[in-house]
Amino acid sequence: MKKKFLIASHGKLAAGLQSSLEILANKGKDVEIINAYLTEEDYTPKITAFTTSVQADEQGVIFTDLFGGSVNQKVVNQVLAAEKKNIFVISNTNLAIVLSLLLSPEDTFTIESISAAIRDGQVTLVSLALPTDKVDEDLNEFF
Amino acid sequence: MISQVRVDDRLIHGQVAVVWTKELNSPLLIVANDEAARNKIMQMTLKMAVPTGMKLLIRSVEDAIQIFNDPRGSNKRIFAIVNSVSDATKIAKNVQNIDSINVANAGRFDKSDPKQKTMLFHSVLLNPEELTAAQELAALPQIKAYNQVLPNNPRLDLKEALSKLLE
Repeated sequence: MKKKFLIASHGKLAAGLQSSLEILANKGKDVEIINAYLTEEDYTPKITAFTTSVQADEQGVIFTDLFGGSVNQKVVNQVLAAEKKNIFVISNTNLAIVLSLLLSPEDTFTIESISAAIRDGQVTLVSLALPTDKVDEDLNEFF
Repeated sequence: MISQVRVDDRLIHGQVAVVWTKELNSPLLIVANDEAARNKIMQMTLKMAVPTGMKLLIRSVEDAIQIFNDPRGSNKRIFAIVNSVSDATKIAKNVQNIDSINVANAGRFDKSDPKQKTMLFHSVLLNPEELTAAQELAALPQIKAYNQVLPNNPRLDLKEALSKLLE
């Protein structure tokens, strides 16, 4: 199933994520972006244009930067107004979740599959303790 | 068999961990690198980069060659990663059953004199020893060697790129 992606943020986070996607996976062109509030321009029509572009036999995913923020509020409003069940909205977006969904081999996203991808892409405190055990797996276990 | 030997001066990183492991469908990852095999901090950071569901071994190039020739691996798809063309050439000379060698990213962090380096591909800079190793690699008849940073980039043939240098 064809998927469409939009990233919407306060300022240039969306453009920054797009730049990272291009370097990591050559996928910058696979996302549309909205960098809100850089000018006084109303960005609502861009959200509407995206929701309108998602056809009945397609799925749309909109990533927003901050849960409860104004960008997220506008996105939720537009998606609900469009009455489309085939558009998902993800908030508190990070690079891991965007990459994971862009590269997903799944034909059809579900609430479950997206929730699983979000769990795998959590913000993480990196442990800086060196492991004391054997660092890599035993050869027998490897094969 | 080895589905790919990738030359990457960052070893395992975003392009490799997220993109290539999916593309190659190879859940067994071997980093063949002498420095990584003795450096605990490098081992820790490499392990962080490995996606869940994949197995990783970190070995010196010599030890890795033995593992690549282990009959238990003959029907498995192994993804091998080295950080220099020289190491890839050493592996190519000592291991059968290599599908291809991808000289993806090289030479940017090897601390050798930038003025001595030749740019073979966009992200492949070779110092004189590495350039010699690349020529040896391209001369091996059984080996398919090319540059392809990401799966949706075109494959650029190593031999052709080297012959263009001489023109």
